[in-house]
Amino acid sequence: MNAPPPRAGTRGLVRSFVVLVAASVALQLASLMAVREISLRTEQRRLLASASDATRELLDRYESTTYLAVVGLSTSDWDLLLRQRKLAKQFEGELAQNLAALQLGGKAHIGGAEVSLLAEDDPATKERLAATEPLWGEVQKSAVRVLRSDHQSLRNNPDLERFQAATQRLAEALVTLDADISKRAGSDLRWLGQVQRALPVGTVALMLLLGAFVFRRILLPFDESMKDLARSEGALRVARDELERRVEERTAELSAANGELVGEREKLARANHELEAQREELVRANAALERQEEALRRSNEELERRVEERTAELREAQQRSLELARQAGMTEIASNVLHNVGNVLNHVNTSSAMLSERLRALRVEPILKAAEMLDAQKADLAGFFLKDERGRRLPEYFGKLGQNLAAERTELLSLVGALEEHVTHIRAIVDFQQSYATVTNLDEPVDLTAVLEDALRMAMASGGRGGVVVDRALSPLPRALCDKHKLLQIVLNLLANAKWALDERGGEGKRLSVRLARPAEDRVRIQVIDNGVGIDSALLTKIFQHGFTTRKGGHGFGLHSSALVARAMGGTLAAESEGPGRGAAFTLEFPFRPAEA
Amino acid sequence: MGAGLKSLGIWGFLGGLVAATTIGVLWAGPKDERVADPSELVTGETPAAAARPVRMVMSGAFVSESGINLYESIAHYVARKNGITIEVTTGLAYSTINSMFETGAVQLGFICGLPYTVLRDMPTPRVELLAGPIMKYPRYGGRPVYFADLVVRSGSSYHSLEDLRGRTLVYNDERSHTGYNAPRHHLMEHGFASGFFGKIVRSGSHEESIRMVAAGEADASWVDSLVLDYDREKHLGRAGEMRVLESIGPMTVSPLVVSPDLPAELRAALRRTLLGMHQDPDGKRLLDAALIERFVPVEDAQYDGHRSMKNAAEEAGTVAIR
Repeated sequence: MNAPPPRAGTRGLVRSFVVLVAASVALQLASLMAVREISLRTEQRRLLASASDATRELLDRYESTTYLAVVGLSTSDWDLLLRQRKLAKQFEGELAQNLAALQLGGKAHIGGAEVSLLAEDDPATKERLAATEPLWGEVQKSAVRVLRSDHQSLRNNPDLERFQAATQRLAEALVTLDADISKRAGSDLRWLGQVQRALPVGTVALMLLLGAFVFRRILLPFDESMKDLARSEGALRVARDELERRVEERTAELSAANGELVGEREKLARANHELEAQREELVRANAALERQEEALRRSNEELERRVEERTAELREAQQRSLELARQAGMTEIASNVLHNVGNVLNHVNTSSAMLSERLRALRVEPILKAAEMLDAQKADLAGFFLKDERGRRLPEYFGKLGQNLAAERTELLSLVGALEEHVTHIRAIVDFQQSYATVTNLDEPVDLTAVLEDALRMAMASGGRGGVVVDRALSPLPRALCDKHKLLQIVLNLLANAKWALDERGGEGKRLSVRLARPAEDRVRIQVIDNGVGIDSALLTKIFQHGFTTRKGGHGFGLHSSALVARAMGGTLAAESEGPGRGAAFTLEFPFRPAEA
Repeated sequence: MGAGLKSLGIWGFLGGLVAATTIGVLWAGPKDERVADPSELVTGETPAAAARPVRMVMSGAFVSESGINLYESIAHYVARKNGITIEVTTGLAYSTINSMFETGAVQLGFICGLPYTVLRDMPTPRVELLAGPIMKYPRYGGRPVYFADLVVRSGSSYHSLEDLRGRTLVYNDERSHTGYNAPRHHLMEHGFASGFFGKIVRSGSHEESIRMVAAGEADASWVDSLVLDYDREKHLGRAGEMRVLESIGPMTVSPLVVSPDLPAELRAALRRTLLGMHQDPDGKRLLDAALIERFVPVEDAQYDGHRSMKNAAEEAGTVAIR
């Protein structure tokens, strides 16, 4: 026997078993339903037969009571009439109910009880029942008629005869119905018998089927399974022995492996120990590193602090440098100042020499002699003045001496006044320069006209022989970006030179012309022109050299530095002269950069 | 499920099968459904402890046999209100009912107006008026009146009384006012008293007359308007197949009468119950079903019309419709 896979076999077995059980249940249910249906039908037939019987009986009673009522009527026995009429009415009601129940189903009176009838479904029986309906109507109608008839005799009463005939017809119909019902009950019983006989056969067949099923699908597979089991047990025993052997081998292997593992584990423990030591070392190293890091951090902070200090120092040095630079600038200014102040100091020197000369010549010795005389005569001063000649002339002498001293004092005061005037002059020059000295090396918006006016004011303030006519030709220009100090330095130098040239020329008609113009959009031109001593054409190229000068007491410094400054401003300084005695013109040009771009 | 089946085993399965079979057989087994209803086992007379029941007759003047149960309910309502038992008998001829009142066999009755006058006009009146109904239909005008409707088949070619000359007339009862007395007088007034119809047949009741006209067994009939309205409204019998040619009336409606044999207090109590019925919810429901608005007092004089019609016929020697 080819055994299917265990799970599939079980599933198939269960499925077959379920199908068989379902078939069994279905067969049993069908049998039960059949028996029940037959039972119900038989019972219904029995009830129908009973109801039919009862209905016939009711009809008999109804006929009897109605007849007795007519008897009462005919004999004027009203009690009899009323009593029988009442009974007849009761039977009439029950009769009507029974006939309706036979036909349509419902409650029917059988004996003294009420039973439920099912609606008749046999066509033939229904037809017979329907036929009783008009018959029953006829009975009722004739009953009413007989009681309401004007014929009240019992003999030759057509209404009574009609009633009795109708009753008879209905009774016959009910008899026929009875026979029908009995016949149908018989056929139902026969069917019941057949079903009852068939049921055991079905049951036996089912049992055989079940037995076959159990034998074939359960017992045989079970037996086969048992054999398989025995075979499997043998194989299992061999396999178990083999397994035990292998287990022993494996156990030995495992034991050896375990020993190795123990060794390995110890090694690992040692290694672990070492690793632990290394870890601690690392921790220590780490701590050292952290300390170093901390030191480094501190060092870094120190470095930062020192950098900051150094930066501050550098900033200070820069400040100092700036200051030095500014001072260098101021040196140039100071040079100009000294140049200008030097001119005034010549006058101071002259004035102080004259003052010194006057003071040396001051006559103070006569006063000392007179004082010694008086001191010698202090014992008798009155007698001296009265008796001595010298004494008597002394007041006069003092009077003349006083006059001389007063005259001397006036002259000295005049000299001191001149000296003070020169000093004041110098202060004014210095004050003007100081207003520019604070600004260094910076381009700034400059009103060129105002700068030229300032320069003229400073230059003219240094004094001179006078008689110079200053001619201004200053075009109104927008404020320009330039170094105001440098410009002022150049212009002051040019104006000083012009003044000197005019002073040297002497005479009348000294004219100094200052011009400001913008020959091009981006150029400024400043000219200082005089009609002074002029410059020899051979000298025109030398005057800008360092140390070259034509002036007595000059340093050869002013024009040289002015030319350098002009170049620093991106401009040029040029000199023109038609020759000695023909005046000179100095022209400064530099780029014009408007301040309000 | 597989595990369950394995654990159950084949014997368990077979055991379950047997158990299921047993349960099924018990469940499907035949049962005797004839369960006696105790309330229906008590039949016949009223309990001995109760007083003798009041007998009431219901003539065909109010309603057909089909609608009789409703009037029985009204009778039982009145009985319940007064602590008495009332037995209702129907289906009797007017003359039988009168005979019963004369001998004291019955004490209450819904009867026709004409038999009432007969009983009332006896030397010792055998009945007195309790009340008369006001019907709901508009044609009654809120008064205790009714009509005698001359009906023919809907599809018939009769359109007036004249058309019925020589035809078959069916009437219910010679003592019926609407079925006989009023029509007779009506024919007399039209000068047809000497013979108008071809054939006259008696039916015993209005609904039988209607059935006969509908069935073609007669051509026309005068029927009580109460019966016709009720059967038409409730679709009873063959009233729906009728067409009314003409109506006699209005005339005082058929009364509810009581025998003087009953104690005066009971008679007064019965009257009060009837007159107040429309004010009681239960009573109102019954009245609505019967198409009655309410019961009102009626006087004997209101039936003088019935009397005069009868007298006129008798004086003229026209006893029977011809």
